[in-house]
Amino acid sequence: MFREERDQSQFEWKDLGDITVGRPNLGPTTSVAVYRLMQYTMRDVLIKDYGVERADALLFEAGKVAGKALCRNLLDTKLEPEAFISDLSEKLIGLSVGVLRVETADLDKMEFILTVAEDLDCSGLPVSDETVCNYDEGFIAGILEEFSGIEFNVREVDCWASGERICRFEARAA
Amino acid sequence: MEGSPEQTLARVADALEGLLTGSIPDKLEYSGASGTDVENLCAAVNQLIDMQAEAREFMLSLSEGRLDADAPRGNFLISPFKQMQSNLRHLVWQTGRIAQGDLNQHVDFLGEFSDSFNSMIASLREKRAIEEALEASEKRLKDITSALGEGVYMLDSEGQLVFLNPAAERMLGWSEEELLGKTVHGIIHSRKPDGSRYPDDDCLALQTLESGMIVHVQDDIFIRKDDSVLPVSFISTPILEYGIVSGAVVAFHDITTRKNFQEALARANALLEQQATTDALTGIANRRRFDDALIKEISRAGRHSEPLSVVMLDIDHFKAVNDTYGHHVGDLVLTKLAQLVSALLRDEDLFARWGGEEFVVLLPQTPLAAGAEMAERLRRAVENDGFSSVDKLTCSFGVTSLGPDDDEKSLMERTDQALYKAKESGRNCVTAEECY
Repeated sequence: MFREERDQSQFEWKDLGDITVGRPNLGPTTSVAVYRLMQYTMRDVLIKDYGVERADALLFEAGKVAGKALCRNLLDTKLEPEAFISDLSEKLIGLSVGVLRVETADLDKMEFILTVAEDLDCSGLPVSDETVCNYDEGFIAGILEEFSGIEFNVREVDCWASGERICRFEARAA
Repeated sequence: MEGSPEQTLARVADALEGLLTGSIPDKLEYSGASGTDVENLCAAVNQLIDMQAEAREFMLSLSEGRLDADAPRGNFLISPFKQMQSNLRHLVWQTGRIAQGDLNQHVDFLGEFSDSFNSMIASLREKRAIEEALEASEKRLKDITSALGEGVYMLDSEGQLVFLNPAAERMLGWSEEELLGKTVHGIIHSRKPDGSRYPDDDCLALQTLESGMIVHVQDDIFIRKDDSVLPVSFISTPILEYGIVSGAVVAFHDITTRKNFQEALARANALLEQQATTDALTGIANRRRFDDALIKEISRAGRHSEPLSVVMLDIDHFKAVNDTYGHHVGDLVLTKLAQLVSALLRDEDLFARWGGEEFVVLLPQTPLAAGAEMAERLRRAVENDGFSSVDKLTCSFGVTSLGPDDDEKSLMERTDQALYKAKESGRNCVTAEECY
């Protein structure tokens, strides 16, 4: 199930398991440090074995799978686009993923500029003059694609790691 | 930059002092040996000057509300303001959403601003809930009033329309939207049934606003949008708030059917009345109508001490006309005589068929002599008329006038006696009989 060979994603929401049953004492949350420990060690190994570009692409792809799954299972895709974004913002705060805000939304062109403050992946990282939220890029692309049925290109243009206080993403219909 | 390291350091110190006082100093020019600490120091100061200049321009843009200002990258001085820019742009987006009716917006993690904004949203939600409740209430009211089939409208204290139910819309041809806020009296109640203007002061519906009294009107008209007339009955009821009239509800009913029925009934009654008081052959009054008029005229003459004369005429040898020419010609003669005599009388005189070939004329305000003159004029007119259907036609006339002790019976008996005397005197003459 988890370790089958595959040439396309097989992830399903139920793969996350029954956390209530599994963690009756420790509960459904963990520390941000532990989350980042997993992501950045994973990134470390991916870069070592596949190089930066490939590692970025893999993180993006994983984020996209996650975004689609989250959209299907936690979000109301019947809402109008702007109401959907408001709903998404509330859900991400509720999940302690980050504070999603909309700077611009052009529904005719399906172009958005979104920012995420207190981002789970990067806020507080050492400044390295790099954008590092490849997983977030994929995550946002996956959500928008699942909602609209249109493929999205998402690019992070500002990041805590590049010296900013927020992450800024430009999302455009492909 | 030429000069000793001490001179260079002095310029660096000047530049830093300028930055600390808020100005943007000129960038340092260095042309000494490369790779030195002095060169690195100058480069760092120049970078700081660039960052300060960028930060100032960016913050100035934000302070002037230009939220789409391009934010430089890699400038740590600006980072918090870029976050503020993001927050403000998001607020602009949220405000736009609110303007479009989305009250699910919520501002997070912006301190007092969040509290204030979220309170405003909560207030708007409450207001919307109240508006929705009002709309639902108004819809219920419309549904109920429509089910009743009555037109209903509501006025505020100024007589301006605040509500019009669908039944009223149908009957009047106006939509509620077209009349809302307008003084409807001048629109739907602008003229009276006789076509004259309907002053506001006379409008019973509006008087409810003044008097606070319920007003019933059984027969009135409203004016439709196409300017046609809608016959209505209505009841205007005041709306009282704390004992003060704050408006009125007017419920009205289309009485077109009732009016049509009433008018048809009136026409039928008038026809029956005419038939009951008119001689079917000649079209003049019949004896019943004459008897009624005689009683009234006797009473009136006595009341005003006015003279009253009565003429009775009979066609001479009428039996011979019927025998010679047939009853059809006899009928034509009677009709022709009725037309001839009617044309010579005044409007106030009453000419009636007494029976057979006998006729009577009631002459109000006419003494005996004048009555006899009138009878003579009639006699001559009959004698001189060709009456083409027969060779010659004459009538005998008896005339009398009302005496102080007369009633209708005695008056008519004396008139009949006068006629008898005219017949006895050879016919085709007038005999006047004084009262005793």
